[in-house]
Amino acid sequence: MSSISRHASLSLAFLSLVLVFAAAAVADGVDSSPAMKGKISLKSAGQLAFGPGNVLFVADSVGTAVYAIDLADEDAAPSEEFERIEDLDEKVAGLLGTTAGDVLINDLAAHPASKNVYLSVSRGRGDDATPVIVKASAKGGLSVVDLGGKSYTKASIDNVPAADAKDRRGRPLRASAITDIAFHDGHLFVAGLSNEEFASNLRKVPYPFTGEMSATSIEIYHGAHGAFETHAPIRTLMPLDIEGKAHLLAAYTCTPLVTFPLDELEGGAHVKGSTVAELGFGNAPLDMIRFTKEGKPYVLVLNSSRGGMRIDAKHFADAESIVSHEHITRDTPTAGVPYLTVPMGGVLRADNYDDQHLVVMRRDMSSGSLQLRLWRTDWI
Amino acid sequence: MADGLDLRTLTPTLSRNGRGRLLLVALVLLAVGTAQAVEVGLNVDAAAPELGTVDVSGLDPHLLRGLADKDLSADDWRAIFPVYTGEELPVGEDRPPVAGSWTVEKGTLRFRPRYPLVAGLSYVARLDLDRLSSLATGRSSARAPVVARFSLPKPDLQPSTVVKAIYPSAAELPENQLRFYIHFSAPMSRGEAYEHIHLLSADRGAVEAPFLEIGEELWDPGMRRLTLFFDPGRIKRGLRPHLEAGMPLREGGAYRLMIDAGWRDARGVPLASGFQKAFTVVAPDRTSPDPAEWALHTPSAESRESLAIDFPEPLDHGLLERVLRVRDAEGKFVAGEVEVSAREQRFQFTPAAPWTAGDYSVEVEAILEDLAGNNLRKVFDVDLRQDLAEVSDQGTVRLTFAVH
Repeated sequence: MSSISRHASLSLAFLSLVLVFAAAAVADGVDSSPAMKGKISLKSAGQLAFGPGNVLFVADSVGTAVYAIDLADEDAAPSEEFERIEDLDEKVAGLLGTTAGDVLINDLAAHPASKNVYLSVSRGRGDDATPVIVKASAKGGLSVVDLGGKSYTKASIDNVPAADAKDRRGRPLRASAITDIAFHDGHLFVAGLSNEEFASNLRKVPYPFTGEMSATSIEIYHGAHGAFETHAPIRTLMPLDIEGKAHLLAAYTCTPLVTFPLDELEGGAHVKGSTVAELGFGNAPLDMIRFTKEGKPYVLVLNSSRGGMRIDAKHFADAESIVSHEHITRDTPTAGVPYLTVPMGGVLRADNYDDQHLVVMRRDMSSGSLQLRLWRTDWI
Repeated sequence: MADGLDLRTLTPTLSRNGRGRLLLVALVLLAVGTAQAVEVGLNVDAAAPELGTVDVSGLDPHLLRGLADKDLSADDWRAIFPVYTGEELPVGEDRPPVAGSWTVEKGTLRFRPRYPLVAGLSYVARLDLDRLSSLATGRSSARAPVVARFSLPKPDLQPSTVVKAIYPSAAELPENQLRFYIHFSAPMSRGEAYEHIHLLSADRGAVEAPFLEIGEELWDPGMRRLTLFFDPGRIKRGLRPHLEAGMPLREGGAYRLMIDAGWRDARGVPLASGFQKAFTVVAPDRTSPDPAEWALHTPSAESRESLAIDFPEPLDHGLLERVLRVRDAEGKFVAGEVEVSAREQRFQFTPAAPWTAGDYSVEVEAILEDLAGNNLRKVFDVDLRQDLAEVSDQGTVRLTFAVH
């Protein structure tokens, strides 16, 4: 090996993913049920995603469940552009009869047909906080979504066996935060983070949710430096097509960005993944989204402190696994797939809106206003 | 405002009426030129004032009948009788009306907010008499709108919540310490945890970005315990944050974990006092806990003595309370109470009923971790050059003991 190629390979760290499937959903306490109608007993409203038939998936971390809600949103897509909402937190607070300080807006999702934007909100910050789904109408105006008469299905996601719960002296302390959800080809992927054990906590739940106990708990291990192997919770994830093959792109709490093929997530096979980037110290990925610009697919990674990163999707195909970055300092360029830093400071959440736009929730740096607005993809 | 209107703003007063309800009259409006006084006020039950309604009384009965017959849409109601947060009516679209429902019942037009009223927050209602008349009867009334302001008195809440404990309780922590548990005496509020937690080094001042900050915040369901992870990217060898910034803790260093008193509890009231945990840092721990090294102290038959297990190193407080269970010879769980003590180096199990002579086992889930996140199956970051990596957390380890 020449010194040049050795250097090149040293600039990439090897990362492998080993996926181990827990045998049975029964052990995971996964309970799915057929469609129900009536009061939806959300205990919290976190990550959102639209699925088949424009059903809205709502992750309920406190209730350790994911709901699939038929919103019955029959609005026609607006002929005019979505009107920007300034001071979103103040307005949501007004709608909910409280102060902006007592409102947390957790996620957003744009309805693929009506283009109404749905927000998951917590009214209150304490143990008695009320989860609310708020609709920002494409034609203007905010309203509370009445979950009372909606048709829904539910998948419970909890890996604490029932016997344990009884044994807990009446004070269960364990909880899982659902950090992201993503739907692909009949399955909902649910990433979580426990407040006790530090573990990869990825679940694969078949959708439509049925009475069958068939969800799968997946342990993902990744390597670093070609020498260490570990696992970690996923912060955000998305399905990604790489050369015609379905993959999951996952950003970890410990910052690697990895891809692994979805079709190998069956039968307990060991799956090797690749690191495509490491986001670096002092930063956390907030959200990831795929978008198309001038006919070419891209991935946008939104970060807590490093702005937006735009990755040309073609680079995932030829990304090499990182082997080492032995001498990295804060001044060393980040290794992995090339990316372009895009000026999306303050953007906290994003979803696809239409061919030319994302819808984003953004804290405007000059006015301090929390905005809900469209963002043209040709600016990215 | 129209000339023919005599507007008298009254200081909100609480008065008890005959049925034991409290009527908070925020504003009384006397529309001169008509026989009726239209009153808009907050109608609250003393037992649950936050569930109050905003009531309009004194409306002409034929107007109310007209409203009741019309099956108005929410948009119509919002136009007739919107209620807003704030002291003043909104200008343009700057604040939507408070969500809720409107009814006409027993001579009263009533707005019921969808969510409880917030004590101390100002609300303002606007009754559009002209539009009301138009929608109810088809005829304009040319009466000016009625504006009413009200609020529930804010209770005088004193700081009382404190940090009860921080785990691990040991005064020496490994350099690759993974997490802290912060226990509070009462439920806390979500969304500001990381602003109030500070890690200070005795010789280097504040440690830069030591913790994993996640928006959801890792609370227990009762919001009395926060789990705080060190940034795993800095602890794990080979990862970029580790190489860029190094371990957040350094062997040989002295540190203080500080909780400032500004952190608000679930009532929105700051802590009664701050809290700090001082500790020193020792060598990193890169070995899995080995149950073969645990010392079991077995109880006597016919007693309710505790089963005790001593560990040679502290283990994770949260997991110790959850992942060890006792089974009898038939495999049934034995009911009892768990206590973790001796700086998380001792686990005790006291059965609800006396032990009977026979064989038992302690079942330990393999996810049990030490302070550095090494569990029974594998270390936190497996060195593939030295360790034989176990790939799964699944399963349990069983320790058997006999009671005589």
